[in-house]
Amino acid sequence: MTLSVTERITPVRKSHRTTTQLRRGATTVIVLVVLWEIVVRIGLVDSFLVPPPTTVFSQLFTLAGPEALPAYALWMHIGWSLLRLILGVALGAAIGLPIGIAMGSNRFIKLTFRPILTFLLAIPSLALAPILILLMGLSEWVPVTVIAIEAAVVMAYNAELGTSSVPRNMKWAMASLGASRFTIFTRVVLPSSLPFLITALKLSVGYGWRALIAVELLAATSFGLGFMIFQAQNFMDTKTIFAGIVAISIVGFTFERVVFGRLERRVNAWYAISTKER
Amino acid sequence: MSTNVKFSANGVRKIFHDERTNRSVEAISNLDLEVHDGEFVVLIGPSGCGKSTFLYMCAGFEFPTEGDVAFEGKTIKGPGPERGIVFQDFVLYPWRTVRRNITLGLELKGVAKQEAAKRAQHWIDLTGLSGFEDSYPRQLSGGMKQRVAIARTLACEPEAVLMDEPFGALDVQTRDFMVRDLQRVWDETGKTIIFVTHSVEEAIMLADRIVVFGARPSRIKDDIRVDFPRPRTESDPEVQALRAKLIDLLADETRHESIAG
Repeated sequence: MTLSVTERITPVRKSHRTTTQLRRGATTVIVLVVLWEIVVRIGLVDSFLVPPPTTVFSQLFTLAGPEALPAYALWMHIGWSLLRLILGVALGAAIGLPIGIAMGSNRFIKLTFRPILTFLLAIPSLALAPILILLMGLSEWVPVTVIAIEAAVVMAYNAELGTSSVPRNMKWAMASLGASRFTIFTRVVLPSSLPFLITALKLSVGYGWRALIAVELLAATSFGLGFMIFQAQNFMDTKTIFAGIVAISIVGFTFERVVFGRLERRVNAWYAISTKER
Repeated sequence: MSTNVKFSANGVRKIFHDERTNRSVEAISNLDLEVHDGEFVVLIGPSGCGKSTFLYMCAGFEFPTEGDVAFEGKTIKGPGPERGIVFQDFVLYPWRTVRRNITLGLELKGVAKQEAAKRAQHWIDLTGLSGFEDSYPRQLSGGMKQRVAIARTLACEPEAVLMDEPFGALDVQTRDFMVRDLQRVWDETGKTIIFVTHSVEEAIMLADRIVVFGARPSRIKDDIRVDFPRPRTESDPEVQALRAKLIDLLADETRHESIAG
């Protein structure tokens, strides 16, 4: 069969491509870091405003270690940020998924919620932060709520897309095998929408992470990577600001690539080719 | 053959309304048809003539605007496992193996997993799928996929099987193969089959009765009983005469269509 041949070839080519990509990417990063170090060392840039990478990384390690104030501060900041992120995304999913699925299954609900969704999609949820601060005060719930709104919108949008794009015949075939509407929903509509839901989760975490750091600058009461940077600004502590930025990007990258990359590959392999089939 | 009526359509009319353009299209106008127990009826006609729409009414996916389609004397109110369907595009569930696709209907009936697997095996063997039980649909060719879909439908032991251009997406050689095998399966099961196609060859090889649909709005143009013995061969003069007649009837319709449209 021809299919098995292509299946055997693709992963080989793919992994080859990924290693080349990785190598190229790593080269770019290393060159930039070295350049940055040189530019600062020879005095082209003020090393107080822009500390060289060696200083930034050693500051990162100091913050992660026992000498930091408080000890192991970096981990606490990361922990708090992640806690807010996870709480926000979970809350957003709890609200957004049912709404999106209902929209995908019922025309009346779809037409009712469409305008709300369109409105919320157009504004960054961060723009709601000032109102939320006025409503809730400087509470721990402000960043969580911002992320929840962001996630709910993305989840609802993708869940609607997923559930409403299940081919008619997939449902009809199940119905004529004797399935009830509920069974059709659980056995056809949900599994068919799974790739859309994974994408929604990935986007929510990505957008959420970005919004979180920003909202922590405005409203975090204690801890959080955004809060850490904000505090460092008050003390003119540029080393910590840069260390914070590096930490933010490492955590974000890990989520995007390691966690979701694996999840997406899994789901796609399982579900996969059915999209290619059609 | 018993003369029990399985499907009966009386004065069926179907109008589709397009909300966006606010236009109505009459797909079927005043159709009467009876299909008897154990009959292999082929519905043939130009594309867009409403033959698939009529099939979907028999399945319970669509409903007539006027008139009535009944199964065993009862008006059809929705889909049910006593009327199995096979689609042109197979419609397998990609996350289930061949065996689990075939046992799906039995699972829904509440048959225990092991018993379902045992019963499915009969259909796996009959449709020539042995050895592929644990494959996933994506690993199969088009013809094999359609065998899975047919086995899945038959495993439910329906009273009647509705087939919507089931071999339309297959290449010619596979098609011939499938036609031959379907005939064998039908011989063994004696199910009532309504088979929609626009292939004259398929109609001649398979049908007890060929119902020729006219162009939209659809009405029945001819109802031909085919009683030559099976398996039929293309070189048979009777077969050739029937082919000529069908091609003529269909060409007529296409001509009307192109002048009108």
